[in-house]
Parts: sequence; structure tokens; C-alpha cells
Amino acid sequence: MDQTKKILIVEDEVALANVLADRLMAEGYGIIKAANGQEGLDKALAEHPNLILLDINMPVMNGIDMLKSLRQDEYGKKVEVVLLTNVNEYQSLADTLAEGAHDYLIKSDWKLDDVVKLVDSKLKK
Amino acid sequence: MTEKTKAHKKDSQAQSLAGLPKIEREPRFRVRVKTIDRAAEGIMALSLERPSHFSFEPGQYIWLVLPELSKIRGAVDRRAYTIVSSTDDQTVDLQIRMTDSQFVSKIKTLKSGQLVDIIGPMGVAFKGVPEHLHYDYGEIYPPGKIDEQLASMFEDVTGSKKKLLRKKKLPDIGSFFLQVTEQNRDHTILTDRNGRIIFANQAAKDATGYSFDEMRGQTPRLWGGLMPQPFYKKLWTSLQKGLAAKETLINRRRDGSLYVAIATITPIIYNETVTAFVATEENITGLYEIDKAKSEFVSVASHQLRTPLSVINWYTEALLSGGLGELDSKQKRYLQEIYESSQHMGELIESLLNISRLELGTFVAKSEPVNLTVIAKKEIAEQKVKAEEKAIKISLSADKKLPIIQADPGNLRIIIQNLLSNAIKYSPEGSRVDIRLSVHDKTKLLLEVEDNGYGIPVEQQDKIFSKMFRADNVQQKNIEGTGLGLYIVRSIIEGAGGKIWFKSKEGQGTTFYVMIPMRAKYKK
Repeated sequence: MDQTKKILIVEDEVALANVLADRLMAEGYGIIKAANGQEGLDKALAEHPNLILLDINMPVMNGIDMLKSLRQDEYGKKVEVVLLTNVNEYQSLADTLAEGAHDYLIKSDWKLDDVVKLVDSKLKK
Repeated sequence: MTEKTKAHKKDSQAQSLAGLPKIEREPRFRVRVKTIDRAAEGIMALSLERPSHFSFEPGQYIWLVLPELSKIRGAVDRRAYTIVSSTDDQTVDLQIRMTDSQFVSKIKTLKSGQLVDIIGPMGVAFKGVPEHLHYDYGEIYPPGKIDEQLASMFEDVTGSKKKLLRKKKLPDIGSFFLQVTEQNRDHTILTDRNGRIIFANQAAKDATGYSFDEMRGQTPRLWGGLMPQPFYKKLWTSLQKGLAAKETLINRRRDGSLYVAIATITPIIYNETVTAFVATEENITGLYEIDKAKSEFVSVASHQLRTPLSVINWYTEALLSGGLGELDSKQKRYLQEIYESSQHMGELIESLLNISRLELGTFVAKSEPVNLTVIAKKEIAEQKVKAEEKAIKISLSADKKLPIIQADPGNLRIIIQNLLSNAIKYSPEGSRVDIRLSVHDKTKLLLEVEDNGYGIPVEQQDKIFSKMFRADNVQQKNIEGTGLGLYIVRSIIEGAGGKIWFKSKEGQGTTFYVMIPMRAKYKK
């Protein structure tokens, strides 16, 4: 596993962020955590992670707004973003995907194992 | 009215009465009354020519006088056998409104020896002033010719009328229909066989904002017509067959505002033909709004439930994976129970969300190329563990020529998932479930899911697609379920322009058939 690959988890639900971080660290990834869109944007622009796992509904700044701001930046234009969501109403997802997310997963439907598989596939490209 | 005009009126009345049949003709009518088999409540005399005393203009009344009624009110008997012009303000009688052309056509029919029915607003008039306009139904039998007059029997066939007539007080004489409907808080109308309005109660006027004059002769399309055309077509076809209908409709008031109503339409069948319709509407806009609020609440609540559920799922999974240290077998078993319950809860939340989406109309379906065989294989793999626990064998046979269709893969997954999980759930150990996919015709595929399970009791088969309904036999077996699955499945497949039905025998098994359009046509 490539030790240098960094993943930014932007998720306000601390418990979810923690278990995901622990698991991905166990797989050998470097983890950065942020609890809202603003923090996520700052850390993304400062640390240039290889992949961003982004929640949609968050306080201070939501995932959609963070994505919009991120895509203004040179690095932010290219970085791979996977949405972490529990909102699977097609419209809101479609809106977010239109803002430039690459993929999404429904947290309550997904196994931790499958999240890891998705992350692996994104970073091995 | 001044004394002068009263006097004048009396004069003209005396004149008009001059043309009436003479009293000596009365015995001949009486004989006729007795010789006609069918009991008559009244006799009607119609003139072949326009009698001089009766200036007949479109919209003017022809008066029918029921002898019994005349007796009650002390009216002169002989008038019971004659046409009385509408200028006679002394008579208490029943009336039928008829236009000139209607009158002429009815006379023609009578002359040809055929029976004529009268459908129209009838009224009880006091001193010439109609007090209660109500609807009634009568028949005129072919007349015999008496001088220049046609006399005919009039039989009132409104069942309750006879009884009502026996009461001595006139205000009670309004027909059954009038009494029931006028007080009714629900919108009630009566139409002829073509759906043209001939009566509307006060509530109907209040609910729609139209006056009776605006409604008369119109169809209920005046405030309806907002549902899809095929809906009305289907409804009308069924009503013509004499079948009553109960439908939820969206209607528009005169002022443009919309309301939701449950309409109950009952065809009135007489002599084996549909003669009229009674339609009532119950305004459920309030209920509808409450229901919508409920669905929205369920939607929000379900979304909120998903986050803690994800936490439970992922933590349990992390523990079970052994990455945090090996667990002993009892610990593993306990965690496995937590994990399975949490998965189950996830499925329930998903069902609730699907229902609130369906009911809120936010169930957006996609249309993309779908290989149904692939979806079926995936679902079978998903449910393999559950099937193996009961030693149930699942087989899939798919037509090799099964084409790729345009549909929503997620929705098709929900359909197969529910039907398959039901088949497994409601089958005994060691039985089998067969899934078949075939081409039905050029535009449709057929999915069949057959089990050899407990079956659905015959008397409950018509309720099986209702929300929250569960058959008695499986409830007694204590099999878990919400009664939501088939409701969701049917809503989805019908929403895409398909169909679902089944054959079932208790103790032998059930086969569900789903007709899947190759190009989903989503209802708006």
C-alpha cells in the first residue's frame, strides 16, 4: 500500500469519521479529518489530499458549497471527490454530482469493507 | 299582488279552464285506471294539439297532479285528471319541467305506443310557487285516445314516495332524494344518463362555487377534468356498465382554487338500463394535507435515523472483522445479532423512505439501459444466506433473448428483492423458489416468482397489495414483516406503466407475475 496517499474525511458525525479513519489507517492510508465544509476546504487547500470523502449535510458550510469553492482552485479542480451521504434523493445527488463530485455512496447502505474497496480503486488508478 | 291584477288573473284562469276536458269524461278515466294492471299513483293527460288554455312555451311546466296529493290538500279532484296550466296558482301539485321540444318528442313516442320515462327535476308547488325542487322519476304508459286528449298513466317509481304521500303534512312530501341530500354536508349531484346535471344540493353549490343555474345541463367536468383523460375514460366505461365507483379526484372551484375529494358515483339502474347517476364528493383536502405532512415527517425522520444506523453498522463491522483484536465465539455471536438487527432496521427505514417518496410524488425514477438477468442474479446472491438457512433452493431461468430494457435499475431491484424475500420468508424449509424471466411481447417482459410456500388465503387475496396488510396465516406463524413490500412493489411497477398480479393457493404456494414495460412510462 502506498503510504503517501492521503485521504481527507469531511464529516460532522464524529463517530462515523473515526471508525472510517481507523479502518482506512489500518489499510495504510494517511488520514486528515474535518468536521465541516469550511474546515474541509481549508485543509484540502493546505494539504492537498489525494482523495476527499465528503459528507453533504454539515453545519457551517455544507458539502455542496465546499465542493463549489474547491473547484475554483487549481488543485481543487482535479482532486477526486466521493460523496458520503445518507440523502439518496436523486435530485440533491444529481445537483451535487453536477458540481463535480466523481462518485457517491449511501452510508447506511454501504459496508465498511465496500467503502475501503471503493477508496482502493480510486487511489490505484 | 294588487287586487286588480288578482282579478285579472282570476279571469284569465277561468278562461284557461274553459278548454279543459269536461267532467263527464272522468268516469272513462276511472275505468281506464282500474283496467291498467300496474298500480298508478297519478294520471296525466297530455293534449295532442296545443290546447287553447295552455300556452306552451319552452321551459314551461307541464303539471302532473297526483290524486292522492290533491286529496290531502283538498284540491279539486277533477284537476287530478287534467293538464293544469301553470297559471293556476291555486293548485298544489307535482310538476315536471319539460321544454317544448322534449314535450313534442315524448308525445311522438307515446303516440307510437311506447312507454315514456320522465326524468327531470320535479317539484312540489304551493299556489304555483315551486317550493321544493327535487328529482323524481316517473313513467308514462302509452295512452288511449280520448277525444282530442291523450290520457296516460303516471306511475311514480320513487320507492319512498308512496309512504311519504301518506303523511298528512305537505312539507314531508319532498322525495327521499331531496330529504337525504339537501341536509347532507357532502356535495351531492344527480345527473342524467349522459352525466348532465339535473340536481345539485346546497353543499355541491358551496363546494364548487357554482350556482345551480350554472351547473344545470353541464357535466361535472365544470369543476373537474383535471385528472388524466384515460382516467375519466375508464371511469365512464365502468359507470356505463352500471358499476359504482369511488375515486380520489382533484377538482377546481369556480374561483380557480383546487381541492381534493373522494367522489362516489352510483349509477341508478332502472329497467336494466343506467338511467341516471348520483355522485357525492367528500372534500378531503384537509386530510390530504395532513397525510402529506405525515409523509414529509416520515421522510425527514427516516433520513435522520440513517446516520446513527450507519454508526452502529460500521462499528459492529469493524469489531467483527477482527482488526481490533480477536473476539471469542460468544462475543462474535452477540455482535452478529446486533449487526443483523441493524441491517433489518436499515431495510425498514428504506421501506418507509420509499413509501414517503411514493406518496409525496418525489419517487424519481431513472430510465437507463438495464439487463434484468444481471439484476436478478445479484438479488439471488444477496439473499443466498437467508435461503440457505431454510435450505431453500432458488433457481433462475432467463430467456436467452431477453433484451436490454430502458428502466430504473434501482426500482427493478426493489421489485425482485421484495418478491424473492417474500418467497423465501413465506415458504417452509427445504422448498424451492423459481424465478423466470421471459419476453412477453414486443413491448413487455414477464417476471415470474414462484414458491411452494404457505400461500395467501383466498378471502384475503384482494387486500394483499394494501399498505400495512399482512395475511392471517403468516401472522399466525409469527413471521416478521411490515406489510409494506407488496404495496411498494405495486406502486413502483404501476408507476412505470407495468402490472403485477398473482395466483395463490393456501398450502401450495404463490406465483407473482410482473409485466415490465421495455420502455418505462412514468406517470407524472
